[in-house]
Amino acid sequence: MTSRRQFLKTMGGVTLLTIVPRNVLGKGMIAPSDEITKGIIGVGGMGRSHFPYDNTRVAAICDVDKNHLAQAASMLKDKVNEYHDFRDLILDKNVDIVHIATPPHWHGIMSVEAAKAGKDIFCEKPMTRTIGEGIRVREAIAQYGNIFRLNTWFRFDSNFYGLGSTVKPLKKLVDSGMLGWPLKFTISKHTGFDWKFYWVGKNHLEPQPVPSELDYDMWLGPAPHKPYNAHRVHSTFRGYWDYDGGGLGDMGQHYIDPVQYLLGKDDTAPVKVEVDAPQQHPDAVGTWRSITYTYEDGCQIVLWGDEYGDPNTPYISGPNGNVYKNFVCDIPNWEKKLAEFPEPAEQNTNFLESVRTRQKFALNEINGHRSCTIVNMGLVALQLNRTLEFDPVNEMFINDEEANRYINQPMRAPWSI
Amino acid sequence: MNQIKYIILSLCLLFAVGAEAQLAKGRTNSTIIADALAQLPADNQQQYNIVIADLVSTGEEGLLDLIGRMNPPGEVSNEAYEFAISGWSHFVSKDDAKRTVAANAYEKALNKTLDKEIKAFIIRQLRTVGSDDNVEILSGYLSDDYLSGAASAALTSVGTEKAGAALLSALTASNSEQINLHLVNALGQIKFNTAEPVLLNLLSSNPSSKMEGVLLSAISKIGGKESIRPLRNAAEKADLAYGKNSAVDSYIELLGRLGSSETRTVKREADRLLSRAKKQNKSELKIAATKVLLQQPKANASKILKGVIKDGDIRYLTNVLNAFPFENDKKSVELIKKTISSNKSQDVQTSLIYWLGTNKSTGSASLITPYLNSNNKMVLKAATQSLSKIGGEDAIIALAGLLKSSDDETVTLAKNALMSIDGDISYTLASVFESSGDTGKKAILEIISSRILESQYNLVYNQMFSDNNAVKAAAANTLKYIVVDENLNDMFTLLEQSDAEYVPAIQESINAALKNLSDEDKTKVVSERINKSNKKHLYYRALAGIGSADAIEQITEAYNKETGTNRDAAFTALASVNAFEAIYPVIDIARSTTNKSELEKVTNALISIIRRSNQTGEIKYLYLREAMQFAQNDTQKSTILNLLGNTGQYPAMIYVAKYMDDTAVSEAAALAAMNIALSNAAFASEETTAILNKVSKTLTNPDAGYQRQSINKYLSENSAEGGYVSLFNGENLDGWKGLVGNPITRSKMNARELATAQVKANKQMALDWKVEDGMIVFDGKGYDNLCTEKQYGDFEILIDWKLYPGPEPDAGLYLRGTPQVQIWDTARVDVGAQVGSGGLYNNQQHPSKPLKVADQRVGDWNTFKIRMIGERVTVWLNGELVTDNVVLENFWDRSQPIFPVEQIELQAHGSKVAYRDIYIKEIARPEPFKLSDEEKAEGFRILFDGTNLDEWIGNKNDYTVESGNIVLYPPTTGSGGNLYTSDEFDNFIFRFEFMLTPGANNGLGIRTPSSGDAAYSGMELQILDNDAPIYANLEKYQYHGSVYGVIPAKRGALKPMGEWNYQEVIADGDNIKITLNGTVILDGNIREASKNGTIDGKEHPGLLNKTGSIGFLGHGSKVKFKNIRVKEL
Repeated sequence: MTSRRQFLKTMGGVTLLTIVPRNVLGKGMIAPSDEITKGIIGVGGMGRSHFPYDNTRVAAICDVDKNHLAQAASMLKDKVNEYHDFRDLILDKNVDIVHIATPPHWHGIMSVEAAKAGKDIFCEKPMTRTIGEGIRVREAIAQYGNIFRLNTWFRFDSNFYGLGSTVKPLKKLVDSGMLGWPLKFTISKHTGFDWKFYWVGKNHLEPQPVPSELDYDMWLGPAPHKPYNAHRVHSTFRGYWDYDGGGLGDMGQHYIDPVQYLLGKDDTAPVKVEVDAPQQHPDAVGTWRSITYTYEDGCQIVLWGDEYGDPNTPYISGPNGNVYKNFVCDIPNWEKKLAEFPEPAEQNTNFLESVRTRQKFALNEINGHRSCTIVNMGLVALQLNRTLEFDPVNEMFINDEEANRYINQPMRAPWSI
Repeated sequence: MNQIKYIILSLCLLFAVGAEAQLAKGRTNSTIIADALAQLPADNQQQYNIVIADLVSTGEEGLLDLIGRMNPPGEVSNEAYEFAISGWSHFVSKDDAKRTVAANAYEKALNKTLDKEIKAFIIRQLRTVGSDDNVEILSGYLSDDYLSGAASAALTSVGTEKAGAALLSALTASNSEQINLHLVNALGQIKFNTAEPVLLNLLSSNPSSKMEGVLLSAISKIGGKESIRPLRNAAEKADLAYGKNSAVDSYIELLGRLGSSETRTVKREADRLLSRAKKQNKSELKIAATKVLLQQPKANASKILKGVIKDGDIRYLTNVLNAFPFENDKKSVELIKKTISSNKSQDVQTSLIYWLGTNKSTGSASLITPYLNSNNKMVLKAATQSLSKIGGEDAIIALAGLLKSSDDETVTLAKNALMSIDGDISYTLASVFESSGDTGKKAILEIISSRILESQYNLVYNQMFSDNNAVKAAAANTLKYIVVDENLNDMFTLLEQSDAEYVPAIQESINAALKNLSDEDKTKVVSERINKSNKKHLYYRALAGIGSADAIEQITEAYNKETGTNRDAAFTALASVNAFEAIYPVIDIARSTTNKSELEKVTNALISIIRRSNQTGEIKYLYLREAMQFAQNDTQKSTILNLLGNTGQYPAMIYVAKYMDDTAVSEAAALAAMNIALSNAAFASEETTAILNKVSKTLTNPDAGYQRQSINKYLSENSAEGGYVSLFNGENLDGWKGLVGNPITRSKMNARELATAQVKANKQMALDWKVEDGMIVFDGKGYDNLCTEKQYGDFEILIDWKLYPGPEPDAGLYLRGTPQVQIWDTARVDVGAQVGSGGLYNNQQHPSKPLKVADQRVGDWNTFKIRMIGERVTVWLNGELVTDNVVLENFWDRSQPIFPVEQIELQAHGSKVAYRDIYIKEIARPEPFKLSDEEKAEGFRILFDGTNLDEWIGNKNDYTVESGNIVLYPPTTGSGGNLYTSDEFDNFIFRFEFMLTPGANNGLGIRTPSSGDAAYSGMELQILDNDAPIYANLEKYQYHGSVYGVIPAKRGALKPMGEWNYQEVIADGDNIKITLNGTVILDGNIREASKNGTIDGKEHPGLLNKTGSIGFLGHGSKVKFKNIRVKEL
């Protein structure tokens, strides 16, 4: 990949990109001569891992926990602007890209606010906690024209868990049609994926005093107010429906997003979700045995929790062949046959280049929202403990008003999206 | 739709069943509620449906009762009530009648004095079941500081006109800002247009900034024409800058909403906004305003687009192009096509080229092609990517032309585009090859590799004779992707003639070309070639690639025979064999050398073979542990620790934990130990706790804080009690003793005799058994086993063992003092050892051979996991199941079952054997069943208390004792036998519990001889899953409980599948009475019933027997029984 310096060097005599001071360009515009800067909201465990992402400089950080903020600041070499209220970070003129590394119940609001402020966005998974918030983020990005990157990367980079390979060759195999159609993907321990059931909540939390370093009200934000208990916040929040959805919330988009890409279904969603699970506690996320998604054309994604499911099951199963964990394919001589097909189209995987050329990043608010929708469909079905049918065009559940109430959930005033 | 009908239907059925159950049992509401609460939260959907349906059957009275039980917050947990109530709400939300009942109950509850938190909880229920009818009561809370939030959320869910009116009137009446925030928010969310004037009024009366924000966003959702000016003013007040109070985006949202109804006004506003945005150079505002304009019904898209293009802002243009489907507008498409050549801005060009690539309209390719000459890399990239998407011959030719460029970056862009373009590119690629520079040639070779263009084999092969070394190297690396078996001779020749630097690549291509031959042909082709060659070492890698046992042997032989480079080549080849079997020669090399650099190489080879292999965690653990002994540096040690951490083995955890004391690898050791422990709750033990505590102190990596939290979570959730304990301390034989006789002879000795014999046995033990290097080694003569001092009942044991080469290697493990889980050398075919180790060697009735051979070589370590519960034994050898829940027969007295408790013994069989790492976990036995005081007083006696079959005779093979139950497994042949009481009974009360499997069939024989068909030679009372579809056409006298063929029983009292049934049988003279789960299902007189012949028309000669056994009559299905007792009358 060309570095910024080389890029400018090769541009040598071309007069197009004159060096312009940032203030002339207006808010949000990246002066090409400038180093690209980022502001990180939420600098607990996940947010700190955003410090080194890409070749950008941290210009500002924000957290509602004073200890987190101080610790994070001490880890950075240079002095940065420190904020308590994310809205101040978003309006900071020194920030080009807003990184959102908070719990998921904030992702939607923060993305929309950052979009309105003309910032580009680098958002942690899962993209949003409800389908409705995802729609709103997608609309806002379309309205304000920002570049949005969702932070899971397996559709274009890194070895994909149980597959033991990148997704690219698998995409080629699926596109070749050699496996036939429709396809069934099984995501379970046996195919190399762990649903992390240790993210379960506790059923009855005793109220505790709020620690002085934490602004609990701001931490909760749009979520319903519930008495403070340390288990609700920081590293254990995933166990509560108000903020996330347990292991499915945590890992779901990592595991499911590449499947959407492989199936070529980035512009749609399954039409049905079925769950097999114990009834969930209204507050604490529990475990489940299986969740099955079915698309209109019969393709399926089956999630097996924990040790459930057939240990011999393939990762992908099609009418003409199967692919097992570690990329074991049972089609004779498949590698040779496959080579006759072109490589999958190149994806825009350099976020900074997307920021410069305004071309969509490979995983953006549109396909990211679709794969997050699948996670959220599962979470709704789990909470209602019943089969739901979904209309991917209107993005609503069919004939199920109760389920539809989960699509747009009320927010604690004054927050709205 | 069908799905939904089905759900509703099944819900109706559930209600019906619930109601019937209630009537049948005559339970009161409070009993139903108590029963339900005890079962919440439910374990599964089925249970949930039953429990909640049961609850719902109690109606309003029940729901009010439940609400009344809720405790004020902070005192006692309301968890079960919350589940019950919210479960109720969800359950009835689709059923209008029941939903109203619930909503009414909530209304009534709200009218009572309740704690505020509880009230809020009830109001939240109305979010699910509330309707227009509840608006009034909800409105009552809109003025309450604490409850207004919940109430307005509930009204939002109701969402009707009336709800809106209530919210609005509350807003007019309220003075509290806190409350108004909720109300305004709610009005906006339900889009209650009537509120517009009120909201506008509030907006104009100088609201706080918080309030202003909520107002603006609500107005944007409901406002009409009147709202435009105030929202514009607010936006202007904010200087058209996006900010906290959402002024700008509210204004834009409003314009968007009104775009089609207030066409002219909105257009005027948006135009004005656009020109302001242009002046201030605010891209995001320009985009938003343009979008409003484009979305208007009669928008002139091309004209608007023209303006956007003229603006020249790439961000603005790209986003407008992305957001709006111009491809449907002819004029716009024309405009784009025209602009692309006329506009000089490279930003504009880039944006339009990307658009053309995405929208693929005709003629796009020829429009884009000229830009392949652009000096601007941004434009060039857009052009190559877009052409790649469009595809077609022209695009291929144009892109291939770029490969001739002298600019590296240009070539790379072309290469990426050609890799993914659709169509046949091979001819075009070949045609530009000669005229391309080195970079271009290399790129072409890369494309050939990536798309496996076998047709270009000659082109690539010819480069191997080129003088251009850079291209030659690239070609060498390309060969392996495109060679086929026909090219093998070419490759062999190249291999022997080429310079050393190209040899590895050519070797790889030989392996690739061999791939499609059969194993036999591969070996043949390569061997023939080796025999003719005087550069044999060049072919070792091909042998390694074949990976067959024969090939491995040839390489090993070469390694032992050759010297220098040839020996090195053989070693490299061995290490690269992609078959686990290569580990044996490699480990032999390791064991035979002390040369440090050789050991370092060998260790790397071992690591790579183990890492690549698909072996079980157990096997990986065994060899990694050995590899550790050869490791020469900290990197190797860390790698091995890291890999051990992924094996999931308890002994591996104990092993790696020791390395936490070695500073250089302590972090790796701590992580490995943690990984093993945390992924297995069954590993919790005192030792594990100690290790994890040490891990917590040792970890220093950036994630250590989170890891420590996970450790604490594990320790708090998994009790160390009852975990594995070590049976061998590695130093001496504490806890072990010598062997005296056998369990039966020992039981006949008195204490003094036993003590004397033990002293003698211990002396012998000291001669035969030694502790060396952390192993227990037997190297003596004779057959004196090493025995645990402690006795064990049910347990799981882990143990590593190793046989040594020598005559007749043989050993084993005695469980409960009884031979044995077999260990032997599989080469001993004369004694049948080829079946492998891990079988129950002395069994005669039950399987004695293992299910598969899972042994490692003699001289290598193996590991057992053995589980013994009741009389059954399961053995895993090196992670493979070899003995599956098989009864261990009593070798010392075959007429009795295995001893319930006895010592464990390591067998000595005259040959040298070593054991190490012995861990045992005791498994608690179920408490024996005891009679209630009542039954005791009435004179009942127990026939089965969960522990043994002492009172029973008959088929004790298929009827086994497990977890306190008698379990009848379906036998592999026949219909399964019968199990009878050894005593006979005439008149009696017999009580027992049974659990069926779907479709199960069994029978209870009474007054029956202990052989023959009890249905005729005695009396059979049916035990049957008579609701199973397979029994749809049953005769009545076959229903569960019927006196078979004689008196029918009532159907319908069986519990759902998976639950225990409780049955009482009273046989008093000719009267038989059966009560199942509290329902009398049969009460009849056999003499009366058979007076004029039986209903099945068959002879029942034993029907009127005076006395006989009671027995279970197997019919080939799995059934469980427990708690069996009888009282004689």
